[in-house]
Amino acid sequence: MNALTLAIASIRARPLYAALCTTAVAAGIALLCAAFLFSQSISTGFQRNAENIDMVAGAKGSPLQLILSSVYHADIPAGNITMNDYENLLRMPQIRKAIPVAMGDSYNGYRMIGSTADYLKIYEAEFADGEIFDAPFEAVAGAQTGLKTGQDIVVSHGFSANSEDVHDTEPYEITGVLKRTGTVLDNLIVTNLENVQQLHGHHHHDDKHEEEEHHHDDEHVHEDAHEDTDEADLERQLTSVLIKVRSPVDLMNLPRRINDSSNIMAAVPSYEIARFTKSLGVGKQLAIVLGAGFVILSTLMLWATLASGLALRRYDLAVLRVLGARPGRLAATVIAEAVIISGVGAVAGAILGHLIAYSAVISFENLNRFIVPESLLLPSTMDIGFILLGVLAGLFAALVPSVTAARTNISTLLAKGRV
Amino acid sequence: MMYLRTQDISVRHKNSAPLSFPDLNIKAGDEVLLLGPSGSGKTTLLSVLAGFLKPADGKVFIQEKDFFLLSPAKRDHMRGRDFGFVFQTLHLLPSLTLDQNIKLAGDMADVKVEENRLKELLMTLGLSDKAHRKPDALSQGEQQRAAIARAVYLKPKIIMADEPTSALDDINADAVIKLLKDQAKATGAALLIATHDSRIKTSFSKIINLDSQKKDVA
Repeated sequence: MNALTLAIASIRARPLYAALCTTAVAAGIALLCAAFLFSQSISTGFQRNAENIDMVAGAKGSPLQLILSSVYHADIPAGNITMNDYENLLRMPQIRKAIPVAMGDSYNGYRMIGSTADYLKIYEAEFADGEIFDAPFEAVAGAQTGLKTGQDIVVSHGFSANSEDVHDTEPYEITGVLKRTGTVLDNLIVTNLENVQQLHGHHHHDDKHEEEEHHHDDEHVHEDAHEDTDEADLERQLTSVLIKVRSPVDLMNLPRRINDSSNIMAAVPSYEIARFTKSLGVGKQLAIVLGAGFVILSTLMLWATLASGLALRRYDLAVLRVLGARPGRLAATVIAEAVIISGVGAVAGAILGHLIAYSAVISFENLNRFIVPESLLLPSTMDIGFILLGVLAGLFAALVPSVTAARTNISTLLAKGRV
Repeated sequence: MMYLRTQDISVRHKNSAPLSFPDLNIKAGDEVLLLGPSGSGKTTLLSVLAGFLKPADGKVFIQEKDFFLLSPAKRDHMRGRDFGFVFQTLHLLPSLTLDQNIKLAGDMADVKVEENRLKELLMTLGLSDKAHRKPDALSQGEQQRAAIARAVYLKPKIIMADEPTSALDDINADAVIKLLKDQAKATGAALLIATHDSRIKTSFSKIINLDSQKKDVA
């Protein structure tokens, strides 16, 4: 029998206190772990999805909205630009690649992206089945859409899953399904730019109003507005352009030059996201403060539990001394007890933290599009740090009680006996 | 050679006059009764002999070595290995089973004991079928025997008992004294019983009366 078995015996003698302390440690570690995992997964999610996109050009407005809508598909687009704008971009020598994107439709909530075959290259996509779109009204589906090669789909207007504003035109045929990439592409359907432009040219005078229209569940408002629209012009519109520059240096000047010299806007995903995540940081800080508070609270609880346990066990400890145990051994039983309680709590907390971060990501529809939720269930190197933190809290709680235990005074105890 | 010998021990408690003790000379196999009313310093003397309480004056020799010149760690180890203690309040750990309580003596003294020793002890003391019970589930008599089993588990050189009978009736008191004597004989240990219980003085050869030998206290 050693310090460990004595510690376990002591825990089992008062299971409720141990459970309470374990729970408190677990709560603190879970909050901390979830906060870090959640924010880490958001920033890696942001980063990974924009890896091959240096810059985005679109209608003037909010740069963040442009990035969120065109790169992360987590917002609605603010407006359109023309094909002329796109062609102007193509003429800029600093731009290595400019991929046009047109959107406005969806199928079961999966966005339909009108673009070119280059769009798939951004995400280094491979085909699980079938091949790339070729003829009009052919499309390629992302891995998470649940679509199969050969399936016909009728897209509806807007991005909502329960939209009843169905396009009454030709259905799309799925010609291929992509392998999973862990990016937004998994939840997208990609087709030829012209298809999307055509559908919208026929139906809408201005995509700026698409969301408003979408909310009108009554008659097709846009049918009336349709008349005073120049169809030919609408068919030559884009939502945005995804740009790869020749040199990182170009990112310094090019956006400003585009913003100043044309009626379109350019935004750099990394800049916008850095600013965006900074504002998200408040929530993270709150969770960290709460988590740290819990860890401190649990340390004090554990301290109190150990100290009161000592008061109950002082005769037991005296007996151990009588039987030849050195003071250090008594301290070790207290430390072992603290480490067991806090260690179990910390491990449970780390597991719980993963589950919390996972459920947070899957419960936000906009997040689970660009973060792979399952990655949050895998153990991370951070877990070691959190478990160590929990154990450290336990050691701290054991500091004073273990010294008290080591100082167990026997001669006075022996005379009094157990009451 | 004396196993345990004391020389002019006196202990000074806070706010009270110093307490002086008669010299003890105990060799293997001795059966010594330390008799005195409560307050006469029996427990204090045992604390000194066990190495917990350093006397203000005088010396304790274990096998002619000055006990308090040993390092605390050595003293702890010697106490665990060579001394067996029995107390009035039995001090069995409530969270451990009977056999764990007994084995604790070996574990805390870092002494390895062969498995048979425990079986044999439990059998002699009629505790074989209670080995896996917690102290709460044992009768007073069984707890008493368990405490004695723990004290003699490592075959100590000396067994020190502090008021082992004062909570017992005549029959049980006699049984416990007999058990202690038997166990001391079986292991060749010296036996030192400190008590105020006059019922048992007749059965001892060597009796030291603390009260009468106590030096005058002003």
